[in-house]
Amino acid sequence: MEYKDFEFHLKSSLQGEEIQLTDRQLAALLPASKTDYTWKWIILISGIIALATALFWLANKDNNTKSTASYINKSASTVHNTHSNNNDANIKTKVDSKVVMSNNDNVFENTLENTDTNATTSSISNLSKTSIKSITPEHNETLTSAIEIDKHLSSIPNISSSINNTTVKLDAFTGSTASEKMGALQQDLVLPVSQLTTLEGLDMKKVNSGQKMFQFTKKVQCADFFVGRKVAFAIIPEIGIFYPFKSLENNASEPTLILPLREENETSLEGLFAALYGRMTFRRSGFYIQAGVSYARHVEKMSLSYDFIEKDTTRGIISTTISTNGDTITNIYGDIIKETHLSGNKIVHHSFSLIDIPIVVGYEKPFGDWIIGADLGVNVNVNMKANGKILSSATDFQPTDTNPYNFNKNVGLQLRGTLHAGRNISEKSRVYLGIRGTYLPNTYSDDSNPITQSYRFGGAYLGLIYRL
Amino acid sequence: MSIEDIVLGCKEGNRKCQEALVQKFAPGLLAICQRYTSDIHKSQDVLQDTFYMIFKNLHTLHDPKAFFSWAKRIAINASLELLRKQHKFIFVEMEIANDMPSGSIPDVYSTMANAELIKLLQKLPKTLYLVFNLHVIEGYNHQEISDILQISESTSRASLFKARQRLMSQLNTTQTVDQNSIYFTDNIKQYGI
Repeated sequence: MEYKDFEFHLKSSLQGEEIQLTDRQLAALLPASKTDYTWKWIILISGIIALATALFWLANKDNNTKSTASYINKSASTVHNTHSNNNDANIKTKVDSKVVMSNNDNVFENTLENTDTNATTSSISNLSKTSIKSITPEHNETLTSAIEIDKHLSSIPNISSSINNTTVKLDAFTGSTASEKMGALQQDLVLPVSQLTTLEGLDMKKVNSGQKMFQFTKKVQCADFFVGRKVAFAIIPEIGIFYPFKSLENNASEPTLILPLREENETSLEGLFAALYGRMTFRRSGFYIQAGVSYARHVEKMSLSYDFIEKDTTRGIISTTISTNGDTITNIYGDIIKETHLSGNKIVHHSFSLIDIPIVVGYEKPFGDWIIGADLGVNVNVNMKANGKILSSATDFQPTDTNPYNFNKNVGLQLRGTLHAGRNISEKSRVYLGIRGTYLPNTYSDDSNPITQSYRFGGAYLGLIYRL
Repeated sequence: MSIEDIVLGCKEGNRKCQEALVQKFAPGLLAICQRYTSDIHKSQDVLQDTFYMIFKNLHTLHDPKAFFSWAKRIAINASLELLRKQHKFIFVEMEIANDMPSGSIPDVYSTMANAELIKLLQKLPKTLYLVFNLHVIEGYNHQEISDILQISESTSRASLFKARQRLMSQLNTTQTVDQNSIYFTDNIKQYGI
């Protein structure tokens, strides 16, 4: 055979050569199927729109004026109901308004009149502010004497709807002791009261002497003049830096060389975090609910230095001999030992990006302009994406989205807890600095991944709370 | 399903088309990878990289009919990348006429199995084997080989000439042809040849 023909034979034999693969091997060559995240995005966007709508509606629904009127109305009604329940109230209508106390016969005459229904809203607002300031323990004690409130009540149109043309005459408390009368009055009198210091013509000596005769047997409940909204809303942009505490475990049935190499040479770099929350605070209690969207990204750095000789022994033709007359060819089979010196130094990264919906419940306690707080909650993972290359053999790396080193597309729920301290920087805004730990019960690795990769996060976060 | 339909479907992310593409071309591409890596496990790794690159860059392929030659080039580049990590190839620059060596070789080589033929070729020095493989088996011309291996065309020609001479010598020798001669000698003793 001519050499030229031999080359032709080589080409025709090898060019169309195929090596069959198993179904599993073929499946491993396919790209990762794209999960349909459409519905998740629809839910996420719908949730954000709903939250924004609710915040907007609540922020525009309530205002201080309406709230003040509401509370004052309730207070007035309470007074009215109290006296009605005691069957001692004698209601009269008078043009002049006055509260007269007689220390001698323990008869109270509380005459209230509100005639000016054209009072302005600003009057109400002013009154509400004054009322809050005025209700201090000292004032409560002073209330045990006598209060003249007609000047201020006359400017409240909403109160007038409840107690207009009403005179509460407390002298109907006949048969009751003075302390009982005052106890009832003190407990239930939640009328907005003007700042006592502004009362003119009040005889303080008389008031003080009257005060002495009442002995309160139980703790007086302060009237509730909380005139703001019960809940407050805020938006919170937050950034942070965290350190991922990684753990690697062998998920394969046999020990792998890659695991110790990764444990020894792979280091976690600091992660970055950004989030935008909406917060609803229950102002009386200090508790709050917070939800939003967050993004986190962290990187693993693999510095691999290797220098070794790889030995590969295969069995094959080690020699071909031809007999002297040329009619016989003898192939000699034997072990072929191949030694390959492998050395190199590689630095390869792979990274993870997480998009989460954090939902937390927390509590804050103010100390003047300072505030400390804590919260607990979960991060609902929407999507996790792995990028870069990961060690696949003693010397080689492969993309993170190819078999067998696959990673999950979603890590599910994460538990998180935060401690933070903040300071008011303006009437509506506050900055805070917090530390947070995040526990991820699920692993990053896919079930087929021979190495299980899990994380815990610990980090520091800086945020701005802007009250709506 | 024609190759045009398969490629078009793959571009649109059709799963069945992707499966069809893999089933149709993976065996051939694996054979190419193995010719370069000479190790089934490494060639499978290279094939993995090859299909990753294929699916990632399929949108850049404008002529679906040219898919196999495009994919073959990716497989060869991926194989060479792996080889470069393991070996440093040094091509000697020289000017040699591109003459086909003349002479005859034993007919028995025409009946050898493919695996044996590849092993025979792989006894050539790596650089010569690469050029020989690219030119004779894959059918690339010297300009293409110079692009792939990043050498000059004259070097490619010279390497091919040397590879052919070596191969001729190997095929006709009655002595041991490589560094495994010690094993040959041992085997002669062992088998009483």
